[in-house]
Amino acid sequence: MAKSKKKNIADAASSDEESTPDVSPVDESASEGDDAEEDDEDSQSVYDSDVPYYENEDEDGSDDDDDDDDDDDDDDDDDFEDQGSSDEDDDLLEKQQEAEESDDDDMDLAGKDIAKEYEAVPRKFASTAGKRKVGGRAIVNQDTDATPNNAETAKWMHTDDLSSDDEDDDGAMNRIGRVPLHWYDEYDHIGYDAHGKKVIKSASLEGGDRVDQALANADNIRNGRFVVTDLLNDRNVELSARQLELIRRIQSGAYAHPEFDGNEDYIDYFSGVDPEISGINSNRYLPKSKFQPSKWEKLQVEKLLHNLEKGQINMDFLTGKVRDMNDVHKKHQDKDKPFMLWKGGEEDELNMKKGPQHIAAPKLPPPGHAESYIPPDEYLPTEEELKEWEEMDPKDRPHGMFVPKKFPNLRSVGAYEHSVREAFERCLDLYLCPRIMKRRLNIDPESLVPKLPKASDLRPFPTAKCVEYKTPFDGEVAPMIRCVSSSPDGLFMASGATDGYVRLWEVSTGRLLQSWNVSKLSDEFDPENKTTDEASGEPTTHAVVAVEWNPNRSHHCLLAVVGKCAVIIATGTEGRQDAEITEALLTLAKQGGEVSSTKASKAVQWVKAYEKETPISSFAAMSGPVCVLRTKSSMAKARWHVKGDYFVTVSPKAGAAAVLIHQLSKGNSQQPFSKAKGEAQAACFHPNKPFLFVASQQHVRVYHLVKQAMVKRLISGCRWISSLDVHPSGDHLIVGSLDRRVVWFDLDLSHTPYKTLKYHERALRDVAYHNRYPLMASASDDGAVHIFHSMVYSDLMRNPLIVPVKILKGHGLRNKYGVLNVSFHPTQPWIFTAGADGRIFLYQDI
Amino acid sequence: MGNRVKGRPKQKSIKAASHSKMGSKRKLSRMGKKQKANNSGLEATFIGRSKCLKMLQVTIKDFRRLCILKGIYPREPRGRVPGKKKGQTFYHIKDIRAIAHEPILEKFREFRSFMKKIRRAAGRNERDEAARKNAVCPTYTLHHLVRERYPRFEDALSDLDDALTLTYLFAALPTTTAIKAKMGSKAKAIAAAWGAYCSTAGCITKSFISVKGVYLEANIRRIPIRWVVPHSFTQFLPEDVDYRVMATFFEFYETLLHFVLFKLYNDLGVRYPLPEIEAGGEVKGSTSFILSANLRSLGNAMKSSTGAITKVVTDTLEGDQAAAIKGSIKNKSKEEKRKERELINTVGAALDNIKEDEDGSMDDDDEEEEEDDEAGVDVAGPLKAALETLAEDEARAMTRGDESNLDDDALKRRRLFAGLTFFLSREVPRGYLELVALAYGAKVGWEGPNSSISANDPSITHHIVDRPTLLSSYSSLPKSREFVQPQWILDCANFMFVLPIAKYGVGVLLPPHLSPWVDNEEEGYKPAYAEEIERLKNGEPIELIQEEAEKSDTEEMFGEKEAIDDGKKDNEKEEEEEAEEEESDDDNQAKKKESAERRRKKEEKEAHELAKSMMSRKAAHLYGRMQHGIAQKQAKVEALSTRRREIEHSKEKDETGKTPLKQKVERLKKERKRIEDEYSNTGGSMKKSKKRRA
Repeated sequence: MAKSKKKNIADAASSDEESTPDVSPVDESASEGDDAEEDDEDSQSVYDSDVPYYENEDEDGSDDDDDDDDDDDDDDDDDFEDQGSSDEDDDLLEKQQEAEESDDDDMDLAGKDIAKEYEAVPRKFASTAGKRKVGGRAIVNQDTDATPNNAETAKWMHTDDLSSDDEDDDGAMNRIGRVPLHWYDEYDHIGYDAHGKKVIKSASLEGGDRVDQALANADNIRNGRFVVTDLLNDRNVELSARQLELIRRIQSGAYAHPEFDGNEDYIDYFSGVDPEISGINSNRYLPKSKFQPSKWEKLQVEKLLHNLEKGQINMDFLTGKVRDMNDVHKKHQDKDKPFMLWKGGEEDELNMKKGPQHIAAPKLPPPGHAESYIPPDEYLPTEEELKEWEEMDPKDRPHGMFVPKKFPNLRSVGAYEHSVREAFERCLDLYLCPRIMKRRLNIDPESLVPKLPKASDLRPFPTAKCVEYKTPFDGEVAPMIRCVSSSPDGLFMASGATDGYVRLWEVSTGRLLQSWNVSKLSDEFDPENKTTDEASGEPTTHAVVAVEWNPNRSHHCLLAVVGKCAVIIATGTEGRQDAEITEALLTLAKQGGEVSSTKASKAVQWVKAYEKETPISSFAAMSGPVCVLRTKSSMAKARWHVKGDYFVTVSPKAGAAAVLIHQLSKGNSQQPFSKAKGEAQAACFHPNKPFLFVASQQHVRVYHLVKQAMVKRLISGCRWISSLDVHPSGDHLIVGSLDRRVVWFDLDLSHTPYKTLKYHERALRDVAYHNRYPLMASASDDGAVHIFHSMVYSDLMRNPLIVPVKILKGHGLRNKYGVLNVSFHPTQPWIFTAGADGRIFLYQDI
Repeated sequence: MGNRVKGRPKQKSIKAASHSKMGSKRKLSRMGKKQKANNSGLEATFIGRSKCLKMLQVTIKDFRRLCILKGIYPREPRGRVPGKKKGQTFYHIKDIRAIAHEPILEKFREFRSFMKKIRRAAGRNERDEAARKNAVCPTYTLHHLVRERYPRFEDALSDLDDALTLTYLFAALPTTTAIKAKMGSKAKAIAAAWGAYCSTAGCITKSFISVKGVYLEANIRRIPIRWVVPHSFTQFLPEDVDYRVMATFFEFYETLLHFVLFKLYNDLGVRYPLPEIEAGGEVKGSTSFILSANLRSLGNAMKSSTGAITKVVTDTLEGDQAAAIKGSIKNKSKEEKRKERELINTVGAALDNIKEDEDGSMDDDDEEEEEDDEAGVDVAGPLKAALETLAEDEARAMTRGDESNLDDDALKRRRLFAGLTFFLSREVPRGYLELVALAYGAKVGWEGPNSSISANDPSITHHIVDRPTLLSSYSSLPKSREFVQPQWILDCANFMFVLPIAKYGVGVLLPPHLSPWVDNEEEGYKPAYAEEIERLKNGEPIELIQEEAEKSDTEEMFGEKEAIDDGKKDNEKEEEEEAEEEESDDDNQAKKKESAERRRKKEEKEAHELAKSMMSRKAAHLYGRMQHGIAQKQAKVEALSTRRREIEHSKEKDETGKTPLKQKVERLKKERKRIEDEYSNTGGSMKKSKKRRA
C-alpha cells in the first residue's frame, strides 16, 4: 500500500507534469527553439554592442547627478544577487569565498564542510550553459534521465511547483487542513482527501521503526536520493534534482527558479526595426547640401573673425579658455590705470576729514659723513670703539647695523648687506610701531632760568667778608663754632664753640672781650651732666649748642645752651649806671629761682651760679654766669621772646618736657605740653602775639599760649626740619631742613608752603630773618651762606618777593660740616656766620 | 506686552537704547543714570589687536594687509594705561571702524570664497574649470586709498621717501618665490619714470654715495624727497625677512607712485605712463628701456639707455629727434628730423606715429624700440603750440627742459655744468651719475650703444673714469678732455661749485666724500675738506692754500707748534700776540680793565647761578636734561676734533721722515732695551731666567 502509494506519488510527480495540459506547448516551444536561438543571437549581438554604450551613458550621467549614479549601483547589486548562478558571478563568489577563507581559515571549518557538502550536490541548473545559450533544449537534455521536465515546463509550472495545495489535481491527498495530526492518532487514517475518502495510515510508517528509517535514509543518501517524509499524507517523497536545486537556491537567497531571469535582456524595439523601412541604410542618394560647406557656419566663422580683428574676442575665447569675454574686459578695466587724482582745492576736503588726527611717521634721518664711502678719517671707528660696538646691542650702536668703512674708490664699493633687512625693519616700524604726538621743546635752555631783578637794585645786603673773629685754641684744630648771636645794640657778639666756651666779642674790632667755660660750669652744677672721656680720663667738654642774646636792649644778658644745661650769663655790656634793670631782671634767677608748677619742676631745676663777676671793661657792669637750668635731657635750641623776659628751650629727646618755657624775671618754668607730638626740633615765639611755633621733624605746630591750644599745623614736606625762624612781622615763617630744602610759609595763606626752594648742595643748618632789612639767610653744610632779598608787603594781596642776591662762600668744610649758624646784625645789613672750620666771619655790605 | 495700542509706533525699550551706539550716552547722562563701564575713556577709544580682529572678523594676515594698505598704525593712548595692559599696542577705535567700512575688506572676503572655489576645482583635478574661474578672480584697486591717505598732492609728495626707497630696492632685488618677477619689472618701470622726471625737471638737489647705497634728494614743489638707490650688485636676501609684508607695502606704493607720477608728468604736459610701458604691458623690453635698469648692475646690462628715457621726456618737449626710427637714428639728416617733427605737430599725427613705430619696432631689437618710443609720447593738446615754438630751437643746450618752468634754484643748478659734456666710461655706474649730471645741466655721453656722443667727440670736457690707470686706447682720444673719477660730479653738485680736478684724477687717492645733509654749523664740527672747499669758494687761490699748508708744515717741523688746525687759528694766535704786546705798554690800565671785566663776568655767573636756584623743580629737571644733551653733543664734537688732531699729528713727519707714531714705537723699544740691559748688568737676565726655569 505504502509502496504503491509511494510509487503513485512518484508517478504523480512525473505524471503531473506529463499530464499538464501545457505539455504540448512546451514541446512546441522546444521545437521553436531554433528560431528563438537565431533571434537570441541577434539580440545578443545587439546587447553586446550596447554594453559599452550603456556604460558610457552611465559615466556621463554620473557627472550630472551623483544620486542617480548611486541608485544605479544599488540596482546592480540586486542584479548581482539575481545572477547568482551566472558564470562570472560564480567566479566572483568563489574568489570572494577563497578570499574569505584565506582570511579566516580556522574560524569556519564547520561552515567549510557544509559548503563542501553543498557543493557536492549536483547543480545542474547552475551550470553555465544556462542563461545565454538559452537552452530550453539543453535543460531538457540534462533532465531527460531524471524527469521529463524541461525548462519550458518548469517555467510553466513553476508557480504550481511550490504550492502544495495545487499539488494534487485528482484530490487524492489529505485535505484536513491545518489541524494537529495527533487528533488522528487513535484512528487508522489521518484525514480525508478531496473526495471525502479516508486517507489511510500506512502500516510501515505508523509503527515505523526509527532505526529502519535512519538506515533507509542513509541508504538513500548514499544512492543520491533525498527522501523526505510527508507526515500529512503519511508518505515518503523522494526529492527530484530540480527540487533540490530549488531548495539550494532558496537557501542561498537567489530566485528559486533557475529559469527566472531577474535581469532580462533589454530588447530594443527600434533597433529591431527593418532598415528598409527606416531608410537609414537605404541606398538612396544623399542631398547636395550634405556635401557642401555650411553657409551658416561660414557666416559664424566670419563673424568670429571679425570680432577677433576688432579685439572683441581673443584667442582664449576661441580656444574655449574663456567662456565670457566680459570677464576679460572686466579684468582689464579693473587695472589701476592712473588718472588725475588730485585736482586742486583739496583743502576744504581736508577740513571735512573726521577721525583721529593722522600722525605722520617720522622720516629716516639723512646720512651723515660717517656713512660716506670715503668718510673723513676722524669718523672711522678706532679698534677700541669697534670692540665696544661688538659688545653692544645692535640697537644701541651709534649707526645701527652699519659700521663706517673707507673704500679707496667707487668701484670697490659692493652691495650693502643689510639693505633688505633695513628696508624690512622700516616697513615693520611703519605699521607696527605705536605713534604718539610729542611736542619737542625747542627752546633755549637759558629761557628756563627765571629772570630775576638785579641784585644791585636790591641793596643793601652783606656782600663781603670784613671781620674775622679768631678763636684762640690749644691743639691742632680750632673748635667748631656752633653758634653766634649779637647784642641788640649791635656792638657785641657772642659765640659758642665745641670747646665749651662762650666768648664775647666786640663786633667792630673783632676783639675777644670775655670768655666763660660753661661746659665746666655745667658740670659743676649738674653732676649728672658730667661724663668723662674714656681715653684721657678727663671730663668731656660739652659743646655750646646755642647762644642767644637777650633781644631786649635794656637787658644785658645772654643764654647759652650746653649739654643738659642752659646757662644765663650776665654780659655786663651796659654801663654801670644802667645795670639796675638787668640786675632787677636777674635777681630771682640769681637766688636760684623757684619753679612753681610741679610738672615743670620735675623737668627743670634752677641753680644759682657762683658769684664770680668780672667786668669786661672798667666802665662795664659785672659780668658772668648767673644761673644754670638743669634738665633731664640734652638741649638743642633756645630762643628768647622779643621782650626778653621769657625764653624757650628745646630738648628733643625729653618727650613731653621737650619744650619748656622759662620766665627769667620770676625764675620760673613751665611745661606747656603734657604729651610729646613728634620729636621737637626747634621752637620760636611769635614776635607780637602769644603764639609759640614748635617744629617737629616734619611739621611746624603753632600754639596759642593763652588759650593753651594748637592753632595750626604747617606741613613742610621736609623729612627732617633743622631750623626755624619767624619773620619780624610774624606772618611768615621759614624752615630749613636737613634734606636741603628751604620752606617759606605764609601763615595767612595756608598750612602748605608758599615756596619750597632747594638750592643748597648739602643739609641746611640754619635759617634766619633780618630784624629790619628784608633779608633772609640760609646756612648749609656745603659751606655756603645764601642771602635772599625777602620783601614782605603789608598789602595782603601781594605775595612776598624772594630774590637770591648773594652767595657767601668763605667757610671751609670739616667732617662734612660747613656753616653751622648765622645771625644777622640787629641794626646793619650784616651777617655773622659760624663755621665748622672754627672761624667766625662778619659779612658787610660794601 | 500687550499694552501697546494698535497703530501707535512701538517704543524702544530702555535696554535697546543703552545698547544702541547712537545717542545712548546722551540719553543716559540726561537721565542722570550711571554710565556703564567701558563706555568712555581709554576702554572706549583704544582697543587691542585681538579685539580688532574679533571686531572685523578677519584673519591676522588680512588685518596686517589692511593696516598696511590703509596706513593704520597703533597709537599710544594719551591717558594712563592700566597696569595689566602696559606694553600692549592699541589701535584707535575709529581707525578700526574705518577699516570695517573699507570696500577692500569686502574684496578680501570675496577673494577668500573665490579661492575656495578654485581650490575645489583644483582638488577635483578640473584644470580647465579652475583656469576658467581664475579669469574672474576678484580684483581690487587702491587709488581711493591713495586719495584718502593723501588728500593733497603735497601730502603724497612728502610721504614718498619710503615709497621710493622700497621701489628702488625691489628694482634691484633678484626674483625669488617671494619676489615675483612682475613686481621687479614694475618697480623698475616706476623707478625709471621717476628718475626721468627728476632729471628732466632738474630737481635733484643733493646726492651722496654712501656704503648703503646712493642717496638722492629731489626738491619738488619745495618738498624734499630723499631716497636710496642700492648699489647695483646682487643684494643679500636674508631668510628671516617676511617678504610678504614688503610686497604689501610695495603694492600700495606702486599705486601711489603711479598716481603721483601721472600728476607730475601731467604738469609737464606728458602723458603717463609712457606708451611703451602702457602698450607693452609687461616690461619685457623695458629692462633695457628703463633708466634705472642701469642702476641694477654696474657694468653689465648697461647697453640700455638711461638717457633714453630722459630723452623721452625732454625730447618730446623739445619736439626734437622725434623721429628716431630704426637703427639709422644717428645717420638721419636734420631735414628728415624736421619733417618728422612737423608730422608730430598734431596730436593725431603723434598717435599715428606711435602706431607706426610700434609696428616698425616689432622686428627691431629692444634698444631701438626705446628710441622709437621717444617719438611715441603723446602730447596733450595745450602743449601743441609750445611744441611748435620749441621745435624751432636747434640749440639743444638752450632747450634742455623747459627752463621757464624751473624756479631760480633749479636754474642755478642747471647752470653749474652748463656747457660741459661728460663722457661716462664703461665701468662707471651710469644711472645716478647721468641723472645728477643731467639735472645740473651737463650733456652726457657714454660708452655703449645709443650714446648721442661718441668717445672721440671733441666736445667732451670730462671723461669719467674709474680705473687704476688709464687705458692705452685713451691716448688716441682728443686731448681736450680731463679724466676724472665719478665722485667729482657729486662733490661739485653738492658744493654747487665746479671743483678743481686735481684731487679727483685717475688713480689719485680721493678726498673725503662729505654728506650734503650735515649742517656743519649746527653740528659744531666742520671736516677739514669742507673748510678747504669753503676757502676755495671764497676765492682764495689754490696755490695760496697749498702754500699755507706747507708753511704750517714747515712750522711744525721746527717744533714751534704742537698741533695745527688751520690757517685761521694761526691768524688768531698772531692777533693774540699783538694784543699781548700792547698790554705791556700800559700795563696798569689793561689790568684794571681786565679785572673789571673779570669781576663783571664773575658777577654774571653768580647771578646766573642764583637765578638757577629759583627754578621750579620741573624747569630745573628740564634744564638739567638740556644741559646734558648739549654736553653730549659737545663731547662728540670734541672727540672728533681730538681724533682729527691725532690723525694729523701722526701723519706729520719729522726731519728723519718718520711719523710720530713710529718715533714713539722706536722710543719705547729703546727704553725697553735699556731696561733689559740694566737688568742684565745687575746679574739676572729676563730671558735667561726663563731659560733656567725650563
